[in-house]
Amino acid sequence: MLLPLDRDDVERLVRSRGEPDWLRESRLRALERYTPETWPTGLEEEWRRFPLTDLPRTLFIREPAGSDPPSEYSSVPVAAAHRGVVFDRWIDAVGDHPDLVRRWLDDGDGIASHAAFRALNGAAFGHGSTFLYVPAGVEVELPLHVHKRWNRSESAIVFRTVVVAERGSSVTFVEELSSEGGSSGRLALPGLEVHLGEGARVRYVRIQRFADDVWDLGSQRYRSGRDSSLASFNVLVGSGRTKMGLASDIEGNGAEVKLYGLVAAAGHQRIDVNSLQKVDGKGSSSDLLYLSALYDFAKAVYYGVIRVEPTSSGTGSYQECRNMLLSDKAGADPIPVLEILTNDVARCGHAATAGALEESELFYVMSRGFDRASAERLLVRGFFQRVINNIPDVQMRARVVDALAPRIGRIADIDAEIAA
Amino acid sequence: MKGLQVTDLHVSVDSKPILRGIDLTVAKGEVHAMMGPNGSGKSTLSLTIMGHPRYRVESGSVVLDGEDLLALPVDERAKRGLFLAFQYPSAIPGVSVANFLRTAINARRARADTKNDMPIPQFRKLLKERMELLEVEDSFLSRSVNDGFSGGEKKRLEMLQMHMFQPTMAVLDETDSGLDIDALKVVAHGIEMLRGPEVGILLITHYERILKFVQPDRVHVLVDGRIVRTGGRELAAELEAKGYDFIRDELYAGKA
Repeated sequence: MLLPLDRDDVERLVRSRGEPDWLRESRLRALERYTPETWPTGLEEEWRRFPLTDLPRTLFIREPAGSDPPSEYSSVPVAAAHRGVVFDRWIDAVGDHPDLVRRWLDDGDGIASHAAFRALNGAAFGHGSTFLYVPAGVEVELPLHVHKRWNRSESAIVFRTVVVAERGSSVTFVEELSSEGGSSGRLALPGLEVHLGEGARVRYVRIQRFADDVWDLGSQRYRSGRDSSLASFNVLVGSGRTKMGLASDIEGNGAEVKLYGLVAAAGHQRIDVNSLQKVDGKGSSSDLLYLSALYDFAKAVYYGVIRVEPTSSGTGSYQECRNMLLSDKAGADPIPVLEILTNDVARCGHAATAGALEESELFYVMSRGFDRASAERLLVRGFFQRVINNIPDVQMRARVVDALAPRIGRIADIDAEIAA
Repeated sequence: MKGLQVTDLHVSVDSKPILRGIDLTVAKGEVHAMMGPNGSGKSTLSLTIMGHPRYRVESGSVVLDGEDLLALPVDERAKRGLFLAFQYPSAIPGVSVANFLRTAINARRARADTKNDMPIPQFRKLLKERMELLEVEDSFLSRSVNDGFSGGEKKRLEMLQMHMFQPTMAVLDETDSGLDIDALKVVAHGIEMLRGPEVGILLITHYERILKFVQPDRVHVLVDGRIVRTGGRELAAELEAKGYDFIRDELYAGKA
């Protein structure tokens, strides 16, 4: 059953944000795509295990007063700003660089059964939206960072983040999301689109720490041009329910895609990830590595597809999903699917596991003076290290570890100090 | 009484009796060797003293410095000064040796609700000193604990941990098995360097060869879950010469 959103809602949003016609039309086109046929039936592989019956029914598309959500943007280094880097709230980017934003409005397609939520996002995105543009050949050295915080409210969290890295450019971007809890149920539809031009290099880190009243039905879409290099990290700690639809397209030869995820869930959290890695071109690669630590009654279902296109040759791709169960009530269901439509493949494979910590490992660690909880934390931290190691920047790693700490705790991270 | 006292200890695994009445006293300042053939219960003894949940104590007691160890969880036993060098140490991928040692030392120093971290310079100094003592290379520190380590490297790390944690009672479970002569010397050196008036050492071994490098004060022979002989160093030599069968033959001669 569709969540209520009509033309009047969209028109009101456009007026309150003072948006130009081209943006209004883009929203209305998205609204047209939002039809009962696009809503998941619950029979799709992606949705079979994720009932939407308790979904908060109010979208509440209302522009809150003031600068809600309070967002903190790191500033763009002066040199990069001079060379045309744009990193701003969407509403300001539309005002200052309308032609640029307009060029990147098309959000394309993604996982078919997530279409309704992408359409909703395209029609109703508002506060919290971000536009990041890096012109050809510009390398932004320091990571750009934004922390978006939503105050307590029933209002849905609907925003769009567009990242464009033109030919030969390079950027690292950290997006942190958090909200105050306490509502009776709140919908979040974070949309992310990342475009990599030829030879571009993008490192993206999402840290999601929504309160447990939030249902996060976000989408992410990555489009990789020739010889580009992408590494994305989703650190999913918050929300009561998360269903993320992540689609990565390779649109040229020699592109490299790395999709990492860390899930740390407790209580009755339910964190699901669907992925679609389309692999095309000559000698391109696409590798996914998602690691989950599940406590209490938490559950994680991963269902992901690698599709190696018939037009590709000599590509490499991998899907790896590993789940650590820290309670006998926690559960995980990793389901990898490979669709290989060509004989010309360098490598393609998957690995999926779910299991408890080894009692012998725990005993070994505890014999060194760690109580059981600390021993578990140490082993989980070690388990996550495979992904954390790949986060390119020390400060970003620290942010990720901070975000994970409420779940997996903290262990000393002092290798650098000792080496000094 | 300072040291380790094991009294009439009966232990079973999966309802199968393994230890059938062990009496053993290791006083501070002493080194005891516990020898025995495969399946005699040597590892059961060491893992029971440390508190492995798989080993069920049916009766008897294990006391360290007057305190009942069996009433304590594993980590509390460690905090009381007990150290077990494992026969098969676990790998901990993603946790570096340096980080592991530092976190462990702080975990052991922590008291209820208060942290009591060892200051980094002090930790670094201790680490450097102990690494030099045991001839451990710096490259060790950044590797994940036991992950991809050779047998010899694992034993070297057990020795480094033993020296970092400064136990008052160390139990070494076949730490000498499967080592070449150089690695064996490292282990023997580690034991000798730990030896002192404040430390008791129980060295569990299948072979006599490590006793060429470590002089035990007492030698015990464990067969079928019981200590059947206790003596001085000459007992180890006798075992080496005659094998364990002679003890078994002696033991069961009257019962045949």
